[in-house]
Amino acid sequence: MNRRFVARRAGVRRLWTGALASGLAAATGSACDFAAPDFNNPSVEDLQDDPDRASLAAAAQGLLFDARITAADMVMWVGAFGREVYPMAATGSALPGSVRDPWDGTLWVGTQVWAEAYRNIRNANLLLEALGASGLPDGETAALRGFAKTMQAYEFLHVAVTRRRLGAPVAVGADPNAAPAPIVSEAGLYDHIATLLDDARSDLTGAGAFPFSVPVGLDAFDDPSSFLGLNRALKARAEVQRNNWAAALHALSESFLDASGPLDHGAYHDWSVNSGDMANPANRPDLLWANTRFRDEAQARADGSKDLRFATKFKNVPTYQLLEVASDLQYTLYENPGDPFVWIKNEELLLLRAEANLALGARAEAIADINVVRTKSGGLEPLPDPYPGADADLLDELLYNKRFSLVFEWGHTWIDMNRYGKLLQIPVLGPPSADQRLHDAMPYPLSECLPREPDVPAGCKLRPGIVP
Amino acid sequence: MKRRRHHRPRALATLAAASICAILFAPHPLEAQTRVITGSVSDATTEQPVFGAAVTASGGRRSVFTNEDGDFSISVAPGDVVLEITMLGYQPASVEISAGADHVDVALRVDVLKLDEIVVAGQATGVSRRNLANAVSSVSAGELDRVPAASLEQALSGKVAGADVQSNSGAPGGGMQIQLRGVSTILGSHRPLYVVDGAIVSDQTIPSGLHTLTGSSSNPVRGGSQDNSANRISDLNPYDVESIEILKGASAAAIYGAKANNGVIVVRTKRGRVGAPRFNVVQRFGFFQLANKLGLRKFASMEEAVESFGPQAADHWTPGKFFDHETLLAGRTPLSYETAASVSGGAAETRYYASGLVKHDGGIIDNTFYDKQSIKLNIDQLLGDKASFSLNTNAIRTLAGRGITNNDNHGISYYMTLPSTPSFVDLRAICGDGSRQADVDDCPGGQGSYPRNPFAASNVLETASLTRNNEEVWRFVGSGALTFDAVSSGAHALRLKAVGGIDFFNQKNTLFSPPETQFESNDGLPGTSALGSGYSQYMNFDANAVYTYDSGALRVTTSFGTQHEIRDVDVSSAIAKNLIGGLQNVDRGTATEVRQNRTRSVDFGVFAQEEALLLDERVLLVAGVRADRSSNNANTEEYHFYPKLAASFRWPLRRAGVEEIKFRGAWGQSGNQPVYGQKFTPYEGRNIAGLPALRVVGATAAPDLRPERQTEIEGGFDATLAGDRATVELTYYSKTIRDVILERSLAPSTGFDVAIFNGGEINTRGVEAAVTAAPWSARDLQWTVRATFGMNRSRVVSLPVPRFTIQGFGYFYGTTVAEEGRSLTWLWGAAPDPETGEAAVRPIADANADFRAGLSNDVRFGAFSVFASLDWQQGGTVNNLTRFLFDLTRNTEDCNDMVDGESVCAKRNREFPGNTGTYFQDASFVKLRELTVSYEAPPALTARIWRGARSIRLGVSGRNLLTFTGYGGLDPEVSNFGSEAVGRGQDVAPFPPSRSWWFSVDMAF
Repeated sequence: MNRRFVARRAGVRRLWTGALASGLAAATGSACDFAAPDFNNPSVEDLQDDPDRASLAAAAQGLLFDARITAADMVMWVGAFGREVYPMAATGSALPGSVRDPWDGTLWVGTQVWAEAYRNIRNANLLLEALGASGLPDGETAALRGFAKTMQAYEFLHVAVTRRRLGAPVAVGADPNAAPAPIVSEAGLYDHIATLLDDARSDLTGAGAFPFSVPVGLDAFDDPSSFLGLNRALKARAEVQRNNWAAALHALSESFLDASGPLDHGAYHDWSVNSGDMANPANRPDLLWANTRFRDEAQARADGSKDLRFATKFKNVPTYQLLEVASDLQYTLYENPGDPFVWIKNEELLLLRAEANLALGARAEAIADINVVRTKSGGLEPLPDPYPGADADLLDELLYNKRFSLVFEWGHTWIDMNRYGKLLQIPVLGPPSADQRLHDAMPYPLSECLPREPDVPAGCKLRPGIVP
Repeated sequence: MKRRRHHRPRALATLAAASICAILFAPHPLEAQTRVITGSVSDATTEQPVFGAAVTASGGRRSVFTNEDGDFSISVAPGDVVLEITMLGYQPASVEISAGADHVDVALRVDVLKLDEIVVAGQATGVSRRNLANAVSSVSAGELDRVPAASLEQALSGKVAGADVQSNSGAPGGGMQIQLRGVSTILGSHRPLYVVDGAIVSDQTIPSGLHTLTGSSSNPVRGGSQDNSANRISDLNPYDVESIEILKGASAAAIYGAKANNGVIVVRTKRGRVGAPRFNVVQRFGFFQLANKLGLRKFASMEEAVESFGPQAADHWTPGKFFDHETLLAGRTPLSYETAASVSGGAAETRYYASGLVKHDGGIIDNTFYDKQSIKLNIDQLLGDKASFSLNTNAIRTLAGRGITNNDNHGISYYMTLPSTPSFVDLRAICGDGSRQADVDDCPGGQGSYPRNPFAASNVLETASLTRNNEEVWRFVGSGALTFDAVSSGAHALRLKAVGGIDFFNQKNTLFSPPETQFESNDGLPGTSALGSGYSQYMNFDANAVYTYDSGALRVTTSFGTQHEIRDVDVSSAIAKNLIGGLQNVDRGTATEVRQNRTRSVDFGVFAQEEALLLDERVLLVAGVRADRSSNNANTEEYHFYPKLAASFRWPLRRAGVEEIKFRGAWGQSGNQPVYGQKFTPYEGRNIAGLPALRVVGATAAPDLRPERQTEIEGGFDATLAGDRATVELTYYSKTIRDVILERSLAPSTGFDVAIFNGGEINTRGVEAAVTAAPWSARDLQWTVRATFGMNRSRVVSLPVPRFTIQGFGYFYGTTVAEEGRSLTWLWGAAPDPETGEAAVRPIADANADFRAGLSNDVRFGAFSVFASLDWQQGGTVNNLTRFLFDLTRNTEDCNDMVDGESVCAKRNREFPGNTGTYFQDASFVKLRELTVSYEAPPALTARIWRGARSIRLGVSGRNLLTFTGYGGLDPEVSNFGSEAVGRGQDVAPFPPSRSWWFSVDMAF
């Protein structure tokens, strides 16, 4: 080796030392910042770990956000089951549940009134869990607890009225990765709903102010004491479902029922076209047609014109035909994307009271409430006094009024006709066919069934339905 | 071997550093160059001079290049020397020159079989194809720009064995998918890694926001999958590409680590050569033409029409009068053009390549088109005798009008509306003078308006004429490399290379439908305008050291390097409805929605690789390892290691027509990172009547989410036959993906939809073959044939969760499903149980093709040359939901055909709910992808036409001219959901396919 080369080597070496040092620094990652958080969403853990007032309020308001989505499933899908509405789009997406067999062999329709309901039940559970660690005053904590449990009960009621004898899981607050919660019977489901509503009632009684805000549709129920009136209205709805008439009447007595008040007084689900909000999903004149049999069914008023409820809720449109079904009738409800859904209103409470009284043999009280609705809402003559028909006729008259007063609001037609075993009396458009089958319960979604294999619950098995 | 190992990368780095330092002690003699040799290089077949060939004296590091006349002059050391002459596309030549000689003439043979091209073997090293131990496919410049292509992948279709290149629809401006060696993932990224001149380049798809109009999805975050958007690799200019190398699996691509599971596509762009400036201009004119129609039912009587379309059909029925809505909609053939120009050249110290492209593809539907402008500048600069610097810059603008297509829930997209539009209704605009025109602009004075379509939510002609769905991209792709030859002596060479790459683009989407459009009144908010902005920034910095020891008998290359990458993507959009005064500005709506989604990924990797070429270059041994960490993993600290091993052996047989057989085998591992966001369990922040709302959104994530890991073994042989006239390559591979990122479907009663975690195992294996032959090679007639073949089968070896759906519209309409023991590519649905006859959910048909094959022929006959390329897919299944929609309204062309007293379309529709497979159709096709006939004007004529021109070539060409298929939809190449890991082949109202014709003039100066 000559001297010159040694010197040269030393130079290269210095260069190399620097390069390697920086390379090693980079290699250990000290030069890189690997922090890349979720920029787009808050995390579930944030609420659990640090339940501040604003987050709790947002979580509570979130229950109202999701509740209306389940309600939308009720309006459109249960509405279709009861043939209140025909979703007819040549895009095919809305066909199951209307003119085609809703029970299509893939349980597709089962996702409706299920996933969103249970999502909201989880939302409520997360809120209830976070409450434990929050520093809110006891009064506000109780108010939130009463609110969250009422919302859970409302969601369970959605599941109960659609799955009926199939039952559904209730113990769903556990680790999502654990085995799915067991299915409980219809009776167990209603017991759970009643318990939730009664627990909520205790929490709401004497609670402090709501530590969150409510949208305009809940203006009449914006504090625990007024919200209790809504809680009791839902209780009445649930008790009527399980023919628990006396309990229903008791709940109604504590609800916001007001025989002399406006019939549309009540709770509403709001929609809007504001950013981040949702527009009313039933605002779909391109998709949703009404059953034209309402035109035939509507009773005549004294002047020969039709029931005001028909005149105000329906409109004539050019005929649209898909397969064997044609309709020239659409709803005037939800003509604007910000129009609200009825959650529960005074008119329904009156009819629920009539229904309970009729079942308990109190015909006069029942007729009195029916007449309030007939005259104020339908513009019809009051029923003749004394009413000449049998109880069965009075029940049909009651169901007529429920149908016209509550149409396109929560799928009431299917729920009521089903409950009284009158499914086949649901008027169906078009010729009878296998595609027009009626069903007495909605299936579970397939995704609920797969994790339960091999113990497949009844809600996962295919049912043929009834051909009208 | 399932678990991850925890090595300290510091140890790896120290090891590599030690070996690099060691070689610095090697002797380093000075070179003395005093003698000059001159010579000329020509093409052995055509006898034309070869310009730009590199001439290197053995032992020297510096090359000289031949000039336009093929001449060169080089200084060499005294005594006997060997000159190496290399030129891309030619076989290299080695000429011994005795001490006394000072001139040599060399004839180079065209490397038709590409035996001598240098193929990428590592991040900083290459190896000759003769020795290559992997089946790396390569495509070079001449094969890419014969026929204009909307995107780079389109130019590759049918040319690469093992690459499944498919377009998502016929929309102008691209939107294609390239899948290498079948299924590699279910939920992870399924796109290959693109590296252009060292820069990692984005191929992401940013949704246009079309779903806000069509309602194909209401999900504000993931709702854009059906928007039919283009993937951004389409921005690159195919004329700039010098070569594309395709590393298909882990065994070849392991050195790219956790980004390489889907293969790596390495693109090199053209560079300048020393010599006088050379200009090249290509001018093309052409047009696109609707290639296939579905046809609409022609009702035989008014009664039939009324039966299907209701009483109002009678108002529109005129006996015998039918309208071809498809042609009225998509029958345009506007002028399209493309101008590509380049200039390149350089002096000894500086070389440059600059190019420009201006392109316009006219769409077959009103307001659809594709424009591209690109300028590129590549510079190579020597910095003294040890260092060089190269700079690559490319600025691109593209603008595409994509039309309103794909799945739709509002009755707006063209082929979603046509099913409910009978052929007897006249949708044409009613002009001021009472005449009818398909395009209102063709009315006298432009005065007129479209009639309402009484049968559907929209009038397709009006929608095409009034709505705009434009996507504009400004993009800069650049990279710089600094190379330093630290040591360069006889047997030892040490090269340090630093490469920085940047890929920035901004995508602006404007979607506008004015209030007067028929469908706009439906929601009570007439007029929709959406403005989307996608901002993407990819940056990578690589530092490499390569040490080569070459003793003649043994050549050892050691490389070591790091790669640091940051990817930031920020997509936002504003959607306005109920537009005041019908203005497009998004602040002029009464109902507005704003969305934003940001992602950031930070990766760091270290690699080391050893390549040894021994036994007279007969044996190649390669070993390497890469370690990667990423912010996308749950544990951002942890390194994941990806090793590789490869070997090849050349056996010069020289008998029975076989010159040489090379046996090769390789094993390697690579990864596939989780996608940004998969590791989080998010709340969704929403708004109810102005109040903030939180809700769970369905996904929970595993606390140890990590990359998927692919282990691939590949083996095969390459044979050179018939006096170097043909090569045959045969490869078998089997890759197993473990730690697959999976979704466990949670029972919806939990309130969540899915849990994301690693688990399970997928195996994909396949065979690839390629044959290249030059059956005739004479001065006046040269004929080259290339055939490729690829097939793969995949199977879910283990799945720790019950089966779950992957992509589709659920079991009712057909979906892909992950189930243990079965391929992921099967389409499932309801079908009668073979035993009980009851409808049950079951797998029905495999969407994966039996095989893909390509055949191209290149014939040069005197001044004429013909090139044709065929692309063949055998088997596979497409779910033809478009036909389902036509059947639903009894509007399919064949609805008048009766079987057992029932219309065939009614029968299909009746059977469908219990048999989803009713609309599954065979997707086999053979397409004539490219056809070119060109004429090269003789020199005398060239001189007469344009003084100074070097060559003039005239050509006629076409793309997708012919399609042979039994598929009943518009095109078996279709994907409603765009690019997908599995679950392509959903045909829902796609953009109709087109063929293109071109006339071109190609001039060189």
